[in-house]
Amino acid sequence: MSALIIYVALVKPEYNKIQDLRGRVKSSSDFYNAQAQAVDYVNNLYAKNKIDIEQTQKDLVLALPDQEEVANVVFQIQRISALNNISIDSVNLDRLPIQQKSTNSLIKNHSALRISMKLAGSYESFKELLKFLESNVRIINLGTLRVYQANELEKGIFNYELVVDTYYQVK
Amino acid sequence: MPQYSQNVSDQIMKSGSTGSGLPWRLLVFSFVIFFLSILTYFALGFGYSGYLESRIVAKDQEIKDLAKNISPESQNVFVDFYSRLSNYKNIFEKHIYNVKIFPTLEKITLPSVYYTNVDLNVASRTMVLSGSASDFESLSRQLYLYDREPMVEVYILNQSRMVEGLVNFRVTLILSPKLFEKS
Repeated sequence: MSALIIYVALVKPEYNKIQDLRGRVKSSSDFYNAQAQAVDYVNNLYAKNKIDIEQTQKDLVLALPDQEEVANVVFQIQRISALNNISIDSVNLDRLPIQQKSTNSLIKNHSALRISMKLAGSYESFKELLKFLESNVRIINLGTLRVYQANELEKGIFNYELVVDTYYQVK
Repeated sequence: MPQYSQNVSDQIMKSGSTGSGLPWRLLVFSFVIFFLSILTYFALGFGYSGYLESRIVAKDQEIKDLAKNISPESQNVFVDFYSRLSNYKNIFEKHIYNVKIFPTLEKITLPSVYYTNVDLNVASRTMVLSGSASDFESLSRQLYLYDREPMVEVYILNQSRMVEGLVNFRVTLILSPKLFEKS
């Protein structure tokens, strides 16, 4: 009778606790195995594709640099305009607020640089310029656009006011 | 025969002695069970559970140590690569394709109509066009073309009036989002 009491009062709860501990050991082991596999995978992936990853990373840095790189933006706009025979009247830059932080802590914030431009040139050249902006390595998104003719004496030459956004990753 | 009698008497004696020792043996058996229960309790409580807890602690430590197996160089490269790729993907998903805007406008504009001012706002997908038509018939045909164009969701004629033999007008087009998507 006392053995039965001991079994019910002591051994049974202890056995339940042991079952719980064994479950925890198993889940810890499973988690460890999964993590170990992931670590091996990352190490192998990095070893095998080191060159590809570094090259892709370099391309990504061109598309989404670590800072505003204002000089680079102005240079790109100047080159695109010159290639398409478009003259630049003015370029103004504004820093937009940093985008809301991602819930994933591994993803850094990013922000945009707003570029307001006044340009002049032929309509066909301007269409080509839009193509260049669209396919530029550094991502450029069109915000607003205005086309008008300020000087009616200059036939075929139009004025353009463009507002575009380009992006960068915040360190 | 005498041998046979001897065995039977032995058996009778033995069964007699068993009957008299049964409570004592039951008592011993109960004590054994009792001590086994106590022993099981202590073995589980202080032996096996302690062993399992130490295994959990050791495994947790091994999991922590795993991170050290990745070299800091590859860690940095991967984290930066992942972050930049995720941001790039998010931004590129909203990329504005603008090459179709003017070809579409050209396609739906009559030769007798020309524009003096084009205002485009990509966020609101509105394009405000100011221009002149040779007459009201041209203007009505022009509006019909806006009406038929799938890339124009809605159009509103804001203003039209005859000035020096031409019909000056201003129209607002609400453009389809497809116009800004990759074709």
